[in-house]
Amino acid sequence: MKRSLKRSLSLVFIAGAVLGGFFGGKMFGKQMRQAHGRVLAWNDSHAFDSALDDSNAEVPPAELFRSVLDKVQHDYVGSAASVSDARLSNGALSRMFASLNDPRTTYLDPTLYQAREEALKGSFYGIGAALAIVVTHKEDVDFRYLTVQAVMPGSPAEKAGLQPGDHLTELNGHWIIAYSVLADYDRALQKTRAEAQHHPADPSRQANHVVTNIRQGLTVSKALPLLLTGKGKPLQLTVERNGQAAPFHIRLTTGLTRVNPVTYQVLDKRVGYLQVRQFNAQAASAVEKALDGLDTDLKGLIVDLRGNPGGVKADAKSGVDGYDCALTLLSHLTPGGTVGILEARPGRRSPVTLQAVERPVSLPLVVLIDAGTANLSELVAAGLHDRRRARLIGAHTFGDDVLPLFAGLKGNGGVEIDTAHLFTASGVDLNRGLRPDIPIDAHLSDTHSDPALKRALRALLY
Amino acid sequence: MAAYSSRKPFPFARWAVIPAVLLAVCASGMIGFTNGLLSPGVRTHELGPSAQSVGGEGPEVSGGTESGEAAVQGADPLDAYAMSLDLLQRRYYGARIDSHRARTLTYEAIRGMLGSLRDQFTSYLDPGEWQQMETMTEGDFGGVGAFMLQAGDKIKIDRPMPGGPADKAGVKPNDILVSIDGKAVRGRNVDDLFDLLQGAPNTVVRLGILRGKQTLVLPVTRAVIEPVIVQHWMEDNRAKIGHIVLTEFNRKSITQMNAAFADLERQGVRALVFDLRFNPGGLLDAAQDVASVFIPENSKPELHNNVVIIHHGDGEEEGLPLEPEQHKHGQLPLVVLVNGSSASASEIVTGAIRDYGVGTIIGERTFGKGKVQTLFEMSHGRDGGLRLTTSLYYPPKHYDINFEHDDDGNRIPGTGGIVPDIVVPESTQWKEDFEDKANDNQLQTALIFLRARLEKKSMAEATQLAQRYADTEKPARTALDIVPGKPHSTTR
Repeated sequence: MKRSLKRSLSLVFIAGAVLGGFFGGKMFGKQMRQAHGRVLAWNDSHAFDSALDDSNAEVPPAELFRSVLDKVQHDYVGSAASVSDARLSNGALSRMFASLNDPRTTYLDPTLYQAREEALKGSFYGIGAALAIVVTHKEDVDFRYLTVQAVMPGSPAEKAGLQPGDHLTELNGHWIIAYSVLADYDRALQKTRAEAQHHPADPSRQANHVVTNIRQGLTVSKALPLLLTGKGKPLQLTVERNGQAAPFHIRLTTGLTRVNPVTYQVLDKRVGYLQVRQFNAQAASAVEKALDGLDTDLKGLIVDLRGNPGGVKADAKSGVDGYDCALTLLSHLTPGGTVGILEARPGRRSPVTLQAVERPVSLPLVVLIDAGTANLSELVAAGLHDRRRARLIGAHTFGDDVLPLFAGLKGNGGVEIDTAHLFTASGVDLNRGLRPDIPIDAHLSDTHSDPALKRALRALLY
Repeated sequence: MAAYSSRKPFPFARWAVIPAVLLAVCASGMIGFTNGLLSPGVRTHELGPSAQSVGGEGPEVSGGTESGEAAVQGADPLDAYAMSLDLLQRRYYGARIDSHRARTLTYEAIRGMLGSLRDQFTSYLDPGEWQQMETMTEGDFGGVGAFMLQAGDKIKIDRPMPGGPADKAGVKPNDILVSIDGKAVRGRNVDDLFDLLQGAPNTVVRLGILRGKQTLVLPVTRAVIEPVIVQHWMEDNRAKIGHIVLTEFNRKSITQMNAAFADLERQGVRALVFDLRFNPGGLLDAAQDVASVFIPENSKPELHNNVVIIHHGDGEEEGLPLEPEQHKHGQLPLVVLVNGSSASASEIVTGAIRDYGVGTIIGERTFGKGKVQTLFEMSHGRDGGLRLTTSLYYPPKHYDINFEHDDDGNRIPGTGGIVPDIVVPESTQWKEDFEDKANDNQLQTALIFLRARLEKKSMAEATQLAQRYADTEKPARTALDIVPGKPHSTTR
């Protein structure tokens, strides 16, 4: 008995030792692989390993990228700082997006991404305006301008007199280069020739002028951080405005402008006044709060969308999605149905159809619009107007049909991608903008009198 | 009485048990080790986020690796690239991102990634450019017959070869190159631009030029350029001072140099000016051979007979040694002439001669390129290839000659390179032609120095005489003009 127990124990012991050896070895092997992983990984990267490569198979693009990244991280010799992941990531994405040559589809580095996110939530740093790149045609040449879309109330931009539609052409004396960074010299020369007609100058100096200005110019990606981030910095801007022959300069100091997205009050005890300055999650709940259970004894409701640059499509959890907010507003004011059209790819359109809330507002409606009414605001205004639900009072809207998709890249900044174009329910492209039923010649910064608001009250009360 | 059954004797001796067990444990350990080593799943990134529609979950990253090598704060370029490409493929209005488009976008991402390194020698060549580069190195090709230099942030065309294609087309010295076949050169790697200038003989390349205030486009018809690697003269026949010019380091360099040296010896040469101005570099072994011509073995034990020290990416360093059989011509008083267009292998040789104390360096600060690039082909060239800086090199005394650059990748003037023992800025009168000796103040300074040495004057005195000569020349250029250029030898 004793002997067989001893024997069993010995066997168990031996088995344990052998298994222990196996797993110990395995762990050690894994460690070795991790330590020298880069060598093995090189062999794994199909792009570079000619021996294993099936010469006819196409290497997937992501594998190309990964192989190059690998080489840079392990074979490149340079200063340690230059090979930081953040810089490599930034460089790769900036250029990849720039190559699309689409002014509305862009990579945002971490600084710009954060500034944009905060602006979408109502905190505008920098000059306190919403900017976009707008394309116009002049003498067979495509010009792109960095343009003011909307000016936030109380912002440095407002104080300096900037208006929606203003083109920003220079910052602190440097050209703002809004065409693709990959544009070639010939295209730049074309632009200068067209511009030179404003300035009678020796034609042979034009080219030198172009070269110098491009060299010293600021690309949009360099200009935007100066315009949209930080506070307390003095800036000088050169502005071109429709209707003014010559460009002019303005000076301002950057700051933080906070925008309350929604305010509601009752005017003259009889008319509701809902001002929506931005579309985001905060605005959506504020709109619901204001309109749920709205006093049905009111004579009417004014929805003020002046100076509202619209919003973006984004992840619901981000708090910056404006699309759902716009639909929320519409669903409270209409009895449901098709309120607009989304074109996800050229020619591929689908209706935007809503189900109204249980008790939508059925009061007479007036929507106030102006040149700073853009994008989703135009969709809302059109959605209410086309169904004869509301009259539009004010000035012609901006004309921005691009719905941007806004997404973060988890520590690598984010992107803004042109994801759809906006049309009215009757199929009119919103890049034409909307005409007011009752035009009023004034804009929002006129604080002492508000002719458009007065006209709206008159329309609802009399 | 029970009978004890007899057991079979244990087949192995008792003493063998323990070693047998140990053997078994070791064997299983090795099997386990191999298993762990080969098991997959380490160091893979999962590509592409799980498809999510916006409005629901945001794009997700399945990141992190088993090895725990996860980068800082999720700033993983591969994840960022993959997420972005995925979003564009699924949600972009402007264009359908098919597989071809995804590929070209990826090339751009690669270019951007390499561009962020701010290393003017590191770049990506797309399939077309890679093809062109391969044709160039393999077959007969034509060039335009002009150097390209990086002058500040401009690309200057330097010294069009008299009678060469560029010269015939009307290209003049100091013309600024603005575009090649309509494509702007700004921001591009000079090596890549050089490859674009090459092409089949009799083909035309359109050079966009800025000359003063004028812009021109000049069509240049490429032709095969015959290289002149070495030129030599008995520069001062009375003092017997010879002058050897080496234009680049290639396979012919050492034989032509030895032939030139031998010819000068036949004429009784007593001192030598070795001219490396405008020499952009070339092969490393050519540099080893040429340096060995001037440097004897074992003259400075602390330098271990190294011509150059190569520093690899993994931190390892190796010294490349002198080739003693090349040291056939004995020791002569020696001056090495250099300028801002002396780069790479030229700097290796200059640094070695200086560190071993066998010559005096005269001229202008050299270019400052102590970097070696390796070419990596991708998918057999179907996806182009990489030009990547993979090693640094140091002169024997192990100091860094690479220039510094600012955040935009622009070279900071006055950094890097080898500073001559006697600094002589190039005279504005000199036509940058080795035949134009009267106006070549750097050459004249070298001759004055060597004459003094041959007259048995001390180093200090000879240096003083030479420096005084150099200083009395009219100021050559302002500080801003002395910008080291990146030369390119057309002579291939």
